[in-house]
Amino acid sequence: MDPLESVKITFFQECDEHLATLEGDLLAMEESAGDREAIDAVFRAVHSIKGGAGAFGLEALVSFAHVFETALDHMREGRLAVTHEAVQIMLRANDILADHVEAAKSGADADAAAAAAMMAELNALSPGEGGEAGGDDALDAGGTAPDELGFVPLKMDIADIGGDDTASDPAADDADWVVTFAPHARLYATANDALILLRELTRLGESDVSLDASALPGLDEIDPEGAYLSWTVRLLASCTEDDIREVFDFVDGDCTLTLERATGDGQGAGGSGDAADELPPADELGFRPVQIAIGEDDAITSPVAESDATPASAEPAASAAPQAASPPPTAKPAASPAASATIRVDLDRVDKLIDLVGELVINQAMLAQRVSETVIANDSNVSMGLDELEQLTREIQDSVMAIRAQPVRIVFQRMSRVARECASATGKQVRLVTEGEGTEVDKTVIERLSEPITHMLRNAVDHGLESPERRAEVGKPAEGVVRLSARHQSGRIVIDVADDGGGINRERVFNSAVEKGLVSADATLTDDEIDNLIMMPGFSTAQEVSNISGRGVGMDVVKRSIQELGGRLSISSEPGVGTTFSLSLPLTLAVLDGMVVSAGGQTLVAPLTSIVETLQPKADAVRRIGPNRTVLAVRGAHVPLVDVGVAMGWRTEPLPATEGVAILVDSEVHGEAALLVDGIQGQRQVVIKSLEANYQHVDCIAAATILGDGRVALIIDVESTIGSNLRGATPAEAKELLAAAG
Amino acid sequence: MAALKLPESLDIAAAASLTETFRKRRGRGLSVDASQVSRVGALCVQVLLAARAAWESDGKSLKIMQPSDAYCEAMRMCGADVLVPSGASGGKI
Repeated sequence: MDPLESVKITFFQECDEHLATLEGDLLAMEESAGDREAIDAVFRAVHSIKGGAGAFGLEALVSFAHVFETALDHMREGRLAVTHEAVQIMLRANDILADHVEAAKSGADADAAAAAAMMAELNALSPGEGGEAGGDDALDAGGTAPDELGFVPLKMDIADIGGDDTASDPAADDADWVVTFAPHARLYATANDALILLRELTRLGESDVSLDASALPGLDEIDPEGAYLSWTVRLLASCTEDDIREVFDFVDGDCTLTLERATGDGQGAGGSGDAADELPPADELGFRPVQIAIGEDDAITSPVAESDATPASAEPAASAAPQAASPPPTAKPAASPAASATIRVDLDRVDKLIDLVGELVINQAMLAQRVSETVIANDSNVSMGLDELEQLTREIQDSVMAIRAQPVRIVFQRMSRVARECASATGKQVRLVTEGEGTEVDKTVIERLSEPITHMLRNAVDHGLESPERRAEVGKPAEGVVRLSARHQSGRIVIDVADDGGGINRERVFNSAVEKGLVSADATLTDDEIDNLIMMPGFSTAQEVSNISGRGVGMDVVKRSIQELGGRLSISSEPGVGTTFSLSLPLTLAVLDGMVVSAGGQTLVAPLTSIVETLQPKADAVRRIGPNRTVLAVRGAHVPLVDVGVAMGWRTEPLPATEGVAILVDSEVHGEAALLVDGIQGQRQVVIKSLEANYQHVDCIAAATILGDGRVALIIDVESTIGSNLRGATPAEAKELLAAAG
Repeated sequence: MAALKLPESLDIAAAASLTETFRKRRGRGLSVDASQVSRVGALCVQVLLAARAAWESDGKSLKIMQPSDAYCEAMRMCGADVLVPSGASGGKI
């Protein structure tokens, strides 16, 4: 891959990480009532995105981020109050920033009109530009005169305050800044450019840049990707130390940076070098704090090779006063473990590993089975070894699955935006509260969570919450609360979307279901049954299809997509108090709990999630309909009885129902049905092997797995197996089937 | 005098080929056309400075011709004024 391209990919990954935390940081900023650290966190994230975007020439992104950053800067400096309104605007600005990043990723153009409108809003937040400029001028004008006068005592002050922030010393504020900046080769290798940093620096105010090319080798020796140049920039005193350090925020550790107040003779770096020579070695530190290295605490990461004075003075310091010189060398190792605490790994590699571990699990089961079939099984050493191998294999499998596990935070963070947009479209006030964002679930599940949760959330805001007027009438606060929470429960992840709205209007739901012919008018339904009508195909209580939760999709589609993942969706509602939708999903889609059954001489696996119960059909409970269809009476209701061997095409003659075992399953589209199999072999966790990826889609089959004896077993797709049985029915049979089932 | 046209983007990706080009062209006078340059990165500034020093030590002439405004502005901004021919227009610092 083009090295620049891979750096760009890293940049976008970092953007995603920044964007993921920005929302929370913005909210934290409001909650902490403008805590400086919270504002700084937001500022840094936006600044890093801007910096990286600049390196790649993403102009639209840079200019938007710049305006955003400017507003944040005003906030940081206390010129702009951290109000609810301001944070709301910034939250929306964050959405647009995310759009820009997405657009840049795909090489498309972001919505310029939306960006322009937002930039205008952000600019409006900022205090008057004119007044500010005037202030700068005043500073500039006043800054030069005292500079000359006040300098000499200042230098002592700086040395005396040691590690303190020099910017906080009011007396030091009058001197110019002298920034020496020596990029390392790594800075360029990460697609940053010294010129971009210098440009940023010169934007802070009037500046004087001088280039030091003394380390530049000859044309024959030069490494095109080496770093040989360094710069000294003299900046006017009006900017703060933080302003300067922020320019170098995203090249943390990739350059040597020193920052100090200028001496009267205008020789910043040189002057300080002389000063160092005059000081006894133990006093070295008294001088060093004036040199401010970027990053959290990595003082001077390496001797400033380009500066002639420092290496000479640093070395005696290291030998004569190890305790004094030790902080700089230790600071670097301390910083690096933190940086390497996580690594980025290509998802394909992880998937490959998971695949291989799946093979290992299967292989281990096969080995165990073969050993048990031979005499050596009696050897306790062998069986003990096998047990240990099994234990180890399971641990490896768990650990590998944990690699792919991700917190649901990734999905939840996107939901604030959904809630916000939905609230503004419906004119309701919504506060989204999230809980359990740290709950982890397999990446394959995460990817498919976003859509159902989005839909449930929209539904909660659109249908669940009452209008502000209605809320006022019943004495609730105007702002509705939607609670989005995740937790682990018995090996599954449970996600609740709960609103504090009016609850389900059961009368209306029932009447609507009757109108649509979903239930008969004289049916007696429990509250739960009425609530569940909402998730029936073809049900919608909205008087007109709104463009929020409507979109032509009902809760039935949500329920089906969740069931496809082996999940369940349930509702509980209390009139006047609110409604909660709960979805429960398996933690992974890589393994599945299944019931191993045999049918037509083959071994199959039925997903445990769809099984309600198993039963032995009695002769009087089986009723024949047409030549080759049967229904089974289960506690008074009739459900279609599907012979799995026939449905799969392994036999033509159905098994007499009384000789097999009926597995009662719940399917979304077709309701309850019974699958007739020859027998049940047991229950076990199986590793899912995709048929689509290895062969092609096969009707009635969801996937495959490999059993301990090495045979391939197919995993039954409950939904389509029942469907295939019904599809073959003649109209007369279908009518009779429906009548019997109804 | 041989001529060399600088690419539009003198960014990180261009540094290696630029170095190679200068190494090959060494030993005779060279006129460098900077009219198309719109982006300048520090790595190429290094190469240009090294080339300038090399030509100087060879006693040959290396001339920057028709520098674009972006070229002049970037060179002046980063303190590499020596790479801007006297009398050239372009951005101020």
